[in-house]
Amino acid sequence: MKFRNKLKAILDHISDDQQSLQRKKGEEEPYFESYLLLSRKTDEFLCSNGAIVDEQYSSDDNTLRVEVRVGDYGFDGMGSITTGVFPITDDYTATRNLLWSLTQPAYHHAQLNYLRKCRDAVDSEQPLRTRSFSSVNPVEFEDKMKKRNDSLVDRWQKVLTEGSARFNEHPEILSGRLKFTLEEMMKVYVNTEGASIVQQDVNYMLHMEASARAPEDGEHLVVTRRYLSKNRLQFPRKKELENVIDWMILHLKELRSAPVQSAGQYPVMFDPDNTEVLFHEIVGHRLEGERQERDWEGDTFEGSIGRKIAPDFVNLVDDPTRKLFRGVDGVERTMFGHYLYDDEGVPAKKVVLIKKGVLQNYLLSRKPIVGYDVPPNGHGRCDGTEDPIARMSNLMARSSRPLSQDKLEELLIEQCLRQDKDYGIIFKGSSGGHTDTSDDNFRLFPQQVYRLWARDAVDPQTGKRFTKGEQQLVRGVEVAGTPLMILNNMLGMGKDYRIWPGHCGAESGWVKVCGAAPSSVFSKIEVIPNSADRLIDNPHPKPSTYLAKKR
Amino acid sequence: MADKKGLEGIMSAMHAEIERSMSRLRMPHAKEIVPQYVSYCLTTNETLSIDSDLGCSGSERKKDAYIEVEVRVGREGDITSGHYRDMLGFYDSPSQDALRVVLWRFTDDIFKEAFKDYLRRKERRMETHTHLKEEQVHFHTAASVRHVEGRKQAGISEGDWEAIARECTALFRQHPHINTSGFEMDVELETRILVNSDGSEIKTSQRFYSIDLDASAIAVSGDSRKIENVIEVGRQFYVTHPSDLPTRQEVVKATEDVLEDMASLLEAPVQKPCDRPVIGDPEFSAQLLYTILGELLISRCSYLHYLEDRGLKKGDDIFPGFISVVDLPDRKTFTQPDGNRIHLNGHSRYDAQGIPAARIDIIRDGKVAGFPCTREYMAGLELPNGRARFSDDLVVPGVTNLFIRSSRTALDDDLKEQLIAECESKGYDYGFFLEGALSSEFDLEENCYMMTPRMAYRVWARDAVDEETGEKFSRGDMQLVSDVQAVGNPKMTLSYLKMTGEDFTAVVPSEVERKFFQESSGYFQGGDCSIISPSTYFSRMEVKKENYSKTRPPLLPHPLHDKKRR
Repeated sequence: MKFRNKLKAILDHISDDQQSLQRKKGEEEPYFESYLLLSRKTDEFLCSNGAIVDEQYSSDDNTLRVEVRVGDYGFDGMGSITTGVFPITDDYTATRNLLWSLTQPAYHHAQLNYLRKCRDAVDSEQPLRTRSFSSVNPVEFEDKMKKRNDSLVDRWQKVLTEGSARFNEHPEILSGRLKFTLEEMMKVYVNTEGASIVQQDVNYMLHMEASARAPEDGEHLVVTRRYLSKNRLQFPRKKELENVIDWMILHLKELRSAPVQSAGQYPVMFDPDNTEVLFHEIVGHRLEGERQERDWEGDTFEGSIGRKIAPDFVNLVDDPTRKLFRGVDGVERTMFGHYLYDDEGVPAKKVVLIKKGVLQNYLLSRKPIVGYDVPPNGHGRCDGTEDPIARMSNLMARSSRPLSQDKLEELLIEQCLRQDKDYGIIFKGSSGGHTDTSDDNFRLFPQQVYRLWARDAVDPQTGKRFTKGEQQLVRGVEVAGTPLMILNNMLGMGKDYRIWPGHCGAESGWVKVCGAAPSSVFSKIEVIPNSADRLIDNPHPKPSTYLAKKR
Repeated sequence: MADKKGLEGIMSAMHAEIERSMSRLRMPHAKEIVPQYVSYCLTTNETLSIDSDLGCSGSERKKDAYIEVEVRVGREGDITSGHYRDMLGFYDSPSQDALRVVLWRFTDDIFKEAFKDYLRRKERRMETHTHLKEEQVHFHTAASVRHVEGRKQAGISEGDWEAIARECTALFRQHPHINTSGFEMDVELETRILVNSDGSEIKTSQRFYSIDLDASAIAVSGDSRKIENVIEVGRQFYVTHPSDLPTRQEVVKATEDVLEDMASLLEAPVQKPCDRPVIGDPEFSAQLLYTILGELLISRCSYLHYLEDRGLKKGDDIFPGFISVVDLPDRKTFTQPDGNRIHLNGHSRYDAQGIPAARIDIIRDGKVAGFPCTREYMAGLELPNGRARFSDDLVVPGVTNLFIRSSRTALDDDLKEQLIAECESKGYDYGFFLEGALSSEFDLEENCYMMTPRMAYRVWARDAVDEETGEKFSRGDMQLVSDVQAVGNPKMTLSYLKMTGEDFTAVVPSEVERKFFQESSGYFQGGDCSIISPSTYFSRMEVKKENYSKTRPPLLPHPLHDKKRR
């Protein structure tokens, strides 16, 4: 991706006197301008039923976000404009013209927002209680450019086409899809404080999804697996991929005949994936700086620095500078939320959020928080089009008293017996979660659900006998809860660390994140029926299962 | 035909239109799909409203009437429904002919809507798993009934109540921190005439009296999070019999209590979100249990089929074993803990579909034993039991007089000791006592309720100093705090219910807002039922910040307290 001329155009635009913003009498002085250029080049294809069903190559997507602030750091008005119509080629003049056409309207928006903010201050003192924007020392940085491996695309087309054909032989499988994405991203950030930052990112992504229907009630059963990495070498090999597909098929077949888990509250164990998503939803989002002072937020942890908010063995860190993580399998994997500078030109910093259960810090963008006089810590993030706010990056949970897997299971069984329950629930694999930070609730969407039998008993649904410690696959449920109750119900965490890379959506758009955590056990969590559709299965046999025989 | 007036004329017009619709109302392209059930309910209301503020008052009398039409359309054994409600353009004894024209128009509209709904249900049935859905489209038949009640009188003096209102609201004038205030009294005389295609004729007459005393103030000092919060305090009285209305002295006392509560709340420290043992007084407990139970029961009969699996089945363990819940529509009165005998709001003989209201054991020893039902058949539920209510444009099940019964009770002091012991075992400085209920809502998507108590107090479990105020507290002391809302998931919350008080009290619940994808999707019944509940003790409950609206306080001082005033 060529960017030299575009970068020069932005720098020249900023320093060109002729381009300085035209102020009318009585308007506020502009004090800050920033330009965030995001270029994304994507190769993507989707395979299903042994064929490529969708593809796009060298697809270019460029966005430019222009931000202008008027007034001063103490009280300002901010205006921003984003365009997706930006030169794909590295064209100096075209870029200059575009900057010329966008900056004055952004300034105009900033003036309007300044007046609106003054108007808001008539109804409430709130906008005046804190500074509007933090100043930071400008940084000049240019990433060492990585070369993407284009040969990978051809090779993976063949592997995934063949892989998707493996679902054909199984009449129970409704669909099997494998999607490959190679994404190269370039971020150029320049501001009038003197910052000039060029960062590059190459991401390799593989999404695998297969589905079936349960004959008993028509529940749509979905199993997914994904590999998101900044290193192509961390992608599975062909044989490994085939094994995963075979596991997905087998698991779906087992799920079809698994009994439906009834809703209720149970002792629960989360695998590392679900523990990561839990911390992301119930703690991470609630520690994002902007959420500490908006009127409509639940303020779960507002003003709680120095207070105990979790069991004393819980430690939580968000570290965008962390590139690699070695999990329980001994393999070092790239962390998907890694970056060096945030989308406001601030150097990324490791932030200790919880230490031994006590809250230490919030995640901060350049928007200061009332009563928390701390400089920004490099978490102002956006998708290139929305206004940045504080977001998570690589969120890592660790226990000061890690327990073995056997001990965690013992803990779960002990809880079951204490609560007179035949079994506890183990959740494995995750399709993500979501949380409402204003109403204080969350949901998690685990992929596999097992009962762990706490005593020898007969399952009344299936008539099968289970012995203490045995696991039984069930289906049809997900998790609902409120943050503090769940945190306080956490009894222990393991040491089987694993990363869970993903994308997180919030007000500032979708950003890349990564979680790292071990398994965890809870005394009680509410389990509710999931929202999968329940429809009639296709009564006809799948053609791929009889056409081959006919031929 | 002679144009008869009065009850006879109304019923005669209804019968005539029902007969015409049942025998001849057809879509030209699908004549085999016919009305299976038609009902008309004419409700007339006479309302007296008394408003007062700052010692001044005014009153208004209003009359209105509306028609609710239910038409169920389909082939036999395969029926769907429609329901319609609209105001009438006339009130005083509509003539038979005028009423027939109105019924003809509404029936035509609702027949067409019901017909489309029938086809929509057929579509859904084709793609939905048969095992789950096939039985859910039938409609129970019923025998005809005839019941006619005489018209009730308001039984109050308008002049006396205006004087009381003025006396109370004059108290608000002197208080510099009160920003808005008011007294509103509504007296509603409601007459309902129901005629349906079963041949039933039901005329009922009811009275509703409501008094709302409200005041708001803007916080100007204390914690920065609290400044500019608009704090609202109020007292409400909802009764169905004039003898249950508060006396003049009681209303004045309630006004003084509002002022006292407001002064205390403005000074109270802000409570941070936490998870602690909680005692709820009967009013808080009634609203909480009603919110949770109502939601779980109505989800089972949900028109939002996406959610119906979240509801309960008979035999499900939901409450602790010491709790039973029974709904008693025939109970007219209840003796409150203070010895006052009051009329219950849920007393009723017949529901909106002409079915006699019967006793329902809803929870027996902690397990689900029965459901409030309409005439719509739901798999696994019993016969209709007289709980159908018109709600917006639907017919939904409701409750009447819901009695919470407990076999594990203790006196107030013992409940408090339990709470303190739990705090001590967990190392908490305090638990909470939550009093009254301002509002409650249930988020269907998130399976989560939220409830705002009228007042929230910390109950200190040991001698300690409140680090925010510097105040010293001893074991058992109560401290008022602000910004408290209870939040939780229903089954999880009920699993922490450990004991109840002995102070069974009849409470009229406020309606529960039901949210779906964060948007309001309507309200679950409030006002026309009673909940009889004791105090409850939960070993754990999560409390969050209440989201107050904010506004800048007045720029000039209160005119009667301005030292520089001219």
